[in-house]
Amino acid sequence: MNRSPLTPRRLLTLVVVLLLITSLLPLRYTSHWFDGPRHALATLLSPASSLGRTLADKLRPMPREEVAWDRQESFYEEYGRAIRQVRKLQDQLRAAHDQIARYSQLRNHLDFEGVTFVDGRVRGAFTSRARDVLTVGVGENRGVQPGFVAAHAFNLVGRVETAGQFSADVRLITAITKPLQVRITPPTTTTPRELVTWIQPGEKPGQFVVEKIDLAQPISRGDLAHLADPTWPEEAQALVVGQVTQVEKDPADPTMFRRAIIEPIHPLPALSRLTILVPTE
Amino acid sequence: MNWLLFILATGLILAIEVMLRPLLGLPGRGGISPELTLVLATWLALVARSSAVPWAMLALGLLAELSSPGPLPGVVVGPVTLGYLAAGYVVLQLRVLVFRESLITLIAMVFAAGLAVQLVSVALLIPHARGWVGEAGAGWSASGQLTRGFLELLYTAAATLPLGLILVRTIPLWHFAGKSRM
Repeated sequence: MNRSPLTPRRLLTLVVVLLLITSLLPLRYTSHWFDGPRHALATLLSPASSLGRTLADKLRPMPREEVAWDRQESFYEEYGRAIRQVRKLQDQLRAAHDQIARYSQLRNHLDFEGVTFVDGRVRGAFTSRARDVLTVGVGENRGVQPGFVAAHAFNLVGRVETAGQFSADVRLITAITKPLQVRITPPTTTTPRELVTWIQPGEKPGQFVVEKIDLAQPISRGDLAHLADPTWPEEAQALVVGQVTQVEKDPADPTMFRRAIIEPIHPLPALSRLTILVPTE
Repeated sequence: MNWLLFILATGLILAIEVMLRPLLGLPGRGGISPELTLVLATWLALVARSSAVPWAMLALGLLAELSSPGPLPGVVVGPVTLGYLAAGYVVLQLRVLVFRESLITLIAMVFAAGLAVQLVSVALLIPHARGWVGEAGAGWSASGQLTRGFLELLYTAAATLPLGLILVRTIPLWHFAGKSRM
């Protein structure tokens, strides 16, 4: 009797062996082979993903104080609420002025000569202590390549890790594993003081820390950390890595040193759009 | 099994899962969200013919693996897919002991299957993380991944209730007892 050598059981065994091999191959090979199918699937699923993000933006907006005019409360209470709301708006206006001041510092250092901006919608996010990745809906079709810089406004978001035809994975700056050199300056329009130092991942996810700051060195809450790391591309220099949120005594040597906590201005995993800086030269 | 319905249901559930990720993702928990493909996989392993289960598990595992970036800096295909296959085996062994079409059974089996997926996939990722093959995946830890996976599993078990109710009602459409279609 002629039996086929490829029975379902043998085929299954073969598939399992192949999967075991691909599981244990170095990432550079498997990424090369499976990047295409992964990005193709992401492209197929992108309408659903975009819809989900749009719904999430609508259903979980930023919390804001509502003035409940229809409630049976005294007029003075409502008036007090309205005043608080006006003050809040004034704060927002001041924050906008601060932002203008902040970006005026960037003018001195940013160099976007020979760079085009490719804007893309975020299709998915994977964040963990070990790896923070956003999948963005632009890929090799728009000239995006691994290693390119991703930004949001003037804030540094990360670098492209892998790029498919229509999508790319951006590894977030918060997932750095080695120290980054930054220039810390206050957000003012005048000539500021500056401190060039190294930041490294903090104790909490999404935070950076600057250790061993001499007591005489200038640093305060609200200062901005601009990238000044020669190992990064030219177009990424001076982009904002984060803002100093806390300055405290260094636990290792409180009498001599301080340390500062730096956090990105926007929560990076929640971004809905990114700009990839594509060098044209 | 009706494989055409399998393809349709897989596509639909994968799209819903991807759509719900930003909506149901827990902020500050590393984007933990329910894995609906695991619910479908477990349910099929509970009620489908045993010969069809491994192939369905492989297909669903591969799609689950490709549809979300893994914990390492690069694409690795195999750990989650083999995890699904192991989950299918676990459910096939346990299903003789339980009422297959009960929703409570499904929730319990999702938990058992999810544990199998986590254990197998984390075990296969350890050589990458330790740098035994290629470059070391800095910052990745097996315990951290298992904790995250366990939390995700709890969330998935909770999400099994609505999806399970729908799946249980579609049993006649799947032709589990009859010949394979397609």
